[in-house]
Amino acid sequence: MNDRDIETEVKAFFRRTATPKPTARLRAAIADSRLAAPAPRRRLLPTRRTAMSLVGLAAGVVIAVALLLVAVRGGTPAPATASGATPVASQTQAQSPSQVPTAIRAATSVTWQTGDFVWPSGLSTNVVEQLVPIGDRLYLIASDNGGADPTAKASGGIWATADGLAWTKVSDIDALKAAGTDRPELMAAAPNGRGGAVVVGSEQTPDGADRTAAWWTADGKTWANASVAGPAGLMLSVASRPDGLVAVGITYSSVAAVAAAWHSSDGGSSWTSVLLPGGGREARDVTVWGDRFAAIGRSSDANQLHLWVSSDGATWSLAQSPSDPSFSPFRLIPLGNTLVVLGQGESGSAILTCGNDLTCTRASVPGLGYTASGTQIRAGAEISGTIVVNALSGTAGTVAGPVAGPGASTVASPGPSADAVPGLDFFASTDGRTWTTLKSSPSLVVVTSNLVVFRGRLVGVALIGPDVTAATAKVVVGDLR
Amino acid sequence: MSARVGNGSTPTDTSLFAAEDEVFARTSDAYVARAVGLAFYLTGNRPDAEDATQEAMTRAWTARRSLRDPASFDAWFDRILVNCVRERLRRQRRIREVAFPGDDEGETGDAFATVLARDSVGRALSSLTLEQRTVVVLRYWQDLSLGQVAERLGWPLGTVKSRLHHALAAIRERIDGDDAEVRR
Repeated sequence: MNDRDIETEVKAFFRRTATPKPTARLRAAIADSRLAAPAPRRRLLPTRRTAMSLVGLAAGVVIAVALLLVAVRGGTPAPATASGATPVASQTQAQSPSQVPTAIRAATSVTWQTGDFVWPSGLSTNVVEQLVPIGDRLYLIASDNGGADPTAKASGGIWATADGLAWTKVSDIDALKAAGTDRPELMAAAPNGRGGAVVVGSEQTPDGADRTAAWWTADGKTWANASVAGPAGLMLSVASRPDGLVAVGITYSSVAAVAAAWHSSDGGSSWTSVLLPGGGREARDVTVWGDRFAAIGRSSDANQLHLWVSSDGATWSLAQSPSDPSFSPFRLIPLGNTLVVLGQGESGSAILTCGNDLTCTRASVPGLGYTASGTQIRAGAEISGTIVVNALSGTAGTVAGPVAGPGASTVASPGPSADAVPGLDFFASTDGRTWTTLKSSPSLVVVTSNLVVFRGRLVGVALIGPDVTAATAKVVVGDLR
Repeated sequence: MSARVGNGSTPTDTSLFAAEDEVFARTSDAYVARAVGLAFYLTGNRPDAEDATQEAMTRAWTARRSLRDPASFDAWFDRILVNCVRERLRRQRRIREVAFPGDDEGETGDAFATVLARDSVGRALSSLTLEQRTVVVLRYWQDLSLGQVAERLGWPLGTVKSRLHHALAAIRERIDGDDAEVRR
């Protein structure tokens, strides 16, 4: 077939294919969103614009004078610390399972404190944010990647904390903008093994294309663009160990997307790419699992699981795909000899556990998975030998039964209301195979994709409020009990 | 509702904006069906298409004052929608979102997506990058010229031509592969 034939085929396809029509529910939602939307910025008349400028100038003078007075009287006040902060341990990484106190292993609940991080006004809660330890501090890097407006610059910033609760702003997101682009796409972050950190993702070039990109820092304040060899693409995840870093994602080396990995042995300042074997379309996550790297992804033509392993990050082999064709993975969490895979089955979230022989089986998670369609895994982390996973549930029609066992809570059973408010459930496991529900106090609406362990405590960004539409983004710090 | 302009009276900002808003709402309401179609071909499934359309409509409403020429609503809105789809696909790479059951297709899935998956051209479309797919859909489904596609997306004409060329090559490769599979 020549180009003309293909054009004819494509046009015929569009003619014969029925496209969905907007539902009444969608039209109603659009109408509702207009009522709820903030008033647009008005185009000001020149005289009014001048007046507003004068008002702005006057306000600036007042603020400058106030800041000067504060400085003269003894400097900037220290950021407020949330009351009741739990003293933190000195380590920044989770303890190994052998060091874990029995009380933590038998956790039945998770309690949360709210940090003083204030989400910047004007920054969407739909930003991609990363939490990464650098030195003895935890950094939060948030960017809206420019949002939906292709001409907009990315907004966001970098903040740091010593305890997860008291946050100070380090710099604007401009610190990560490279020459020639204002739209860095920050998809993942990790310590770089040298006391600093890396952030990986892509940059959007002025013609709308993706260009693989990574940034590195030694101190969290000054960032540099890494040199990334290979075709254009998007890094989606990064993992580190003392001798090097590995990122995985997709490249556009041919006419379609292909799963790829990148490796760096200099702390993230330069990267080399390699295509992952097996024709996978996308590698979603990578982790350090014992003495090797493990990566997870999907096949080209179906949501088949692809599990890759590598001893050095440069040479990869494709493990035999588990016979679970409907499973679409997105997160790997190592737990000793077990690799826990979070993902989606055909009708809900699901968890697989893989052993050293790289065979994987479906874990039994009461209230999660095929029997509770509508649940949605959001994030997970390993803390002191316990894996904690959270999942959004409680949507209309979802009825997940109560969980048996001491200390277990009841999974949300919202009943038949179409307007049921989603809730957030936490599940815990010490072996990846058997799971119990944790009671969360207070209830959180949503924890975003980031859930990390810092100084022995869980830290994440959560939406807190009576429902999703009225929720506020906060940093939360959690303890298992 | 309409603004009274003329007869020597000076309309207030409020009445002018209210009239503009009503025109904008009607224009965008009339475009919803086309927006869902475009979003459907870009995302490959109905739930994502509806979500992206709603998000784009909300953003368009918030930014409605920046639309200088109502006659160019289609191009202006398509650009917002394409970027909403792009953002949405990015988010899904980090947080795997699930289409909750309860739509009219029931729990068996999205009937429209199933149709796409059964068609060799539909499968080929889904294998393209978003940029390639966007060019193909705007060119052949919306029947726009290459210049109009370039204008809508804010890309250089050469970039649009190049992406269309690679997209057609990828579709041909995919269809040829499917044919070979059937013959085996």
